[in-house]
Amino acid sequence: MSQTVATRRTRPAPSGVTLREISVQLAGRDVLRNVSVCVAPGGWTTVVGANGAGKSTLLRAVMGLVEHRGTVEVGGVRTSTLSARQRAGHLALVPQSPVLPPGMTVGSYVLLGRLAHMGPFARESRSDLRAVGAVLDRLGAASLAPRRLTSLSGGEAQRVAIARALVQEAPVLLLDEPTSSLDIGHQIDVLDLVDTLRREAGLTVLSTMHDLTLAGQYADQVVLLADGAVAASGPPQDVLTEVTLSRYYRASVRVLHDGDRLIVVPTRGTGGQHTRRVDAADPPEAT
Amino acid sequence: MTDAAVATSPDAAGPDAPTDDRTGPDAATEAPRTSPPAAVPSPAGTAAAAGVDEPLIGPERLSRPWLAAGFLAVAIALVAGVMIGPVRLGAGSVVRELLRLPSGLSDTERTIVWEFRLPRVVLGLLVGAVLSTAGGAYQATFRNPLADPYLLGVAGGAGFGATLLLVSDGSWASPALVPLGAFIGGLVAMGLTYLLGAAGARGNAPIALVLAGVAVSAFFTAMQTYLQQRNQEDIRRVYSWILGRLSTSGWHDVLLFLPYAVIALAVLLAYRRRLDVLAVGDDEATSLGADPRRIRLVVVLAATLGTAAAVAVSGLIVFVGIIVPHLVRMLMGSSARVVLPLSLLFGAAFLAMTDLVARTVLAPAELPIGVVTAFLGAPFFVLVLRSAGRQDR
Repeated sequence: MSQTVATRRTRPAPSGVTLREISVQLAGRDVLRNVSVCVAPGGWTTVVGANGAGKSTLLRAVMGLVEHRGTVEVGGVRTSTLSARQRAGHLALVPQSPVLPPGMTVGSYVLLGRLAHMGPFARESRSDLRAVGAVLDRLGAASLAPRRLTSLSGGEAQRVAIARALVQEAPVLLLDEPTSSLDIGHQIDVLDLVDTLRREAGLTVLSTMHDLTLAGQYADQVVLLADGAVAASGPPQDVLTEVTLSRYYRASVRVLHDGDRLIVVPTRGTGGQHTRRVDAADPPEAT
Repeated sequence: MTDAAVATSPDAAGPDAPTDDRTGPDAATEAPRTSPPAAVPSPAGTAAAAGVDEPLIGPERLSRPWLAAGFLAVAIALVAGVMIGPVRLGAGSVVRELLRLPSGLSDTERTIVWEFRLPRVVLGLLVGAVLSTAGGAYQATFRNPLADPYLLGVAGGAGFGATLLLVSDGSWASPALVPLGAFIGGLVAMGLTYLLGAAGARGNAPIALVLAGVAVSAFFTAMQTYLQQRNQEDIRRVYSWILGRLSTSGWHDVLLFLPYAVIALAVLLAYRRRLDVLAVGDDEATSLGADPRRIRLVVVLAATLGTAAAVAVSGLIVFVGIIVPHLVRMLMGSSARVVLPLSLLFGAAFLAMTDLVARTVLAPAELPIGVVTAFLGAPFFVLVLRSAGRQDR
C-alpha cells in the first residue's frame, strides 16, 4: 500500500507488474486485445511494435488513463482498487512528449512529482524539497533547477521529466518512448541512467521503444505488439529475429550479433528474402 | 521557442531579480555564496548551484518585496480613496483617523470618512480582489490566458440572475438574495460556455472558449434587456447597475458582499498550489495523483460564487480579471501560487483607484466604473490576445 512507498526515501522493495488480458476500445475500435505481460521485480520489459500497434495505449491503460478491461497488479496490488493518488505511489509515468508549461521553472515542475506525498493543500514539506534536490543531483541536473522549462534542450527536458517521475518514489517506472526526441548520444545517456537506477534503486521498468537495437540491448524481456495483440514475447534474442520482425514490421530487416548483443538493421527490400510479402490483414495470434 | 517567455517574464534577468533569497530565478546572483559540487558540468552561466541547498529548489515563491508592494498599493488606494472627493481631506488626518488616532477632523468630516467614503473604498477593494483572483483562477483552470469572468459569460449570467431578482416585485426576493440569484445565473452561464467551447474544441484553442463565452453573454444580455424593457419602472436602477458602479449606500453592500468574498478568496487561495498541477494537462496530472476534474470543479465554483456576488453588488465591471493577473504574470511568472495572492492585492488596489478616477474625472458627475475598466482593459485584451494566439501555434 501507499504507506510503504510514502514512508522513507530508501529503496522501495522491487515490485513486479502483471497485466492480465488488457483490452482497450477507443471509438469502437479494438486498440488492445487481451494483452498479458508479466514484468519481473527489478526487470526491464520493453514493448515494441509498428506505429499504431497500441504501445502507448498499453502504458496509458497501466497508468489508468484509459478505460480498459483486464487487470493490472503492481507488487500484488490491483491498481483498480487504488485512488489516483495511491496509484501515483506505485507507478510513475514519463509520457512520450511531456507537457512543459511555459514559464514554469524546473524546480516547480519536478516538485509536481511529489504531489502524491503532500497534504490536501499541496503544500510542500522540507522532505519534498530534499527529495527533489536529491533526484536532480543524482541526474546531474541540479543546476537546471531555477531555469524555465522553455529554455531546456531536448535532452535536458527528458532528464527533467524522468526526475519528476523519480521523485514520485514509485517502485515501477513507465517510460513511453524515452528516446524518441533525442540524438544517439543522449539516447544512450538516458537509457544508461534508467538502467543504473533500476539496478541501484530496484526499480521495475516497463517501456515502449521504437529503436529495436536499443530495445534489445537494455531490456531483459521484449514484447512485440501487432494490431493490439501480443505477437511474441520473451528474451530479446527470441523475439527480435529476422523472421518475426520482417513479418510484423513488413520490412526487410537484418539482425546482427555483436557478442551477445543484438543489432537490428533495416535493409532495402529489393530482392531480399523478407520483402513486403506478408499480408497485412493476417491477424497475428496472441501467444 | 514560443512567446510564452515573452508573455511571462524575460527569465532570470527579469524583474524578479531583487526578490528575497528563497526564489529560484535570482539564484544566479548568489552563485558565489553557495556552490555545492555539481555532479556533471553544468551549462555555463546558469551554474546557479541549486542542488543541495533546499531553499533554492522548488517552486516560485511569493517574494516578500512584492508582497509588501501589494500591501502598500492597497494602503495607498485606501488613503487616496478616502482623501479625495468633493471635500478634500488631508492625507495625514485621514491616516490618523483610520488608525483611530486624534485626527483633528470635524464631525462632518468624520462622517464623510466613516459613512460615505470608507465603505465605498472597501467595497472597491473587495470587488477588485475577488474579480482579479477569480480571473487568475479561471485562467489557470482552463489553461487559457483569455479566460475572464466577463468573457466566459459568468458575469452576463450573473447579471441576468440578479436582474431577475431586482425587477421582481420583492414579494419573495429580498435584496440579500440578489447575490445568490447572480451565483445561479453565473453557474448556468459558465456551464454553457464550457460545454460549447471546451468540449467542442477539446480545450485546445483558447479562442474557442472565449467565443462560446461571448455567445453565452450575448444570450443572457438579451434576456436581461427583455426583462428590463418589461419592467420600465425599474429601468434606471437596473441600467446604472449594468454599467458597473460602487454604491454609496454605506456599509450595507460591503456586509452583503463580505461573506461571499471571504469564502471565494479562501478557497481560491487554498487551491492555488493544486492549480499549478493542471498546467501539465489532465492526463499527467492524474498520473501524478491529482484529481483534475475535482480541482476544476471546486475552483470554478468558488470563482463563480465570488464573481457573481461581485456582479450583484457592483454590476458588470469588465476586464479587471484579465488586466491584473496578466500584469502579475508578466512580472512574476505563471505559477498560480504567486499569481493568485498578488492578483488579490493588486486587483484590490487597482479597482479602488479606478473607482477614484471614475468619480473624479467628470466631477460632480460620475462615470460608471465599468466604463473606466473597459477603457483600460480593451487595448490590453488585444495585446493578450495577440500573444496568446502566437503561443497557440
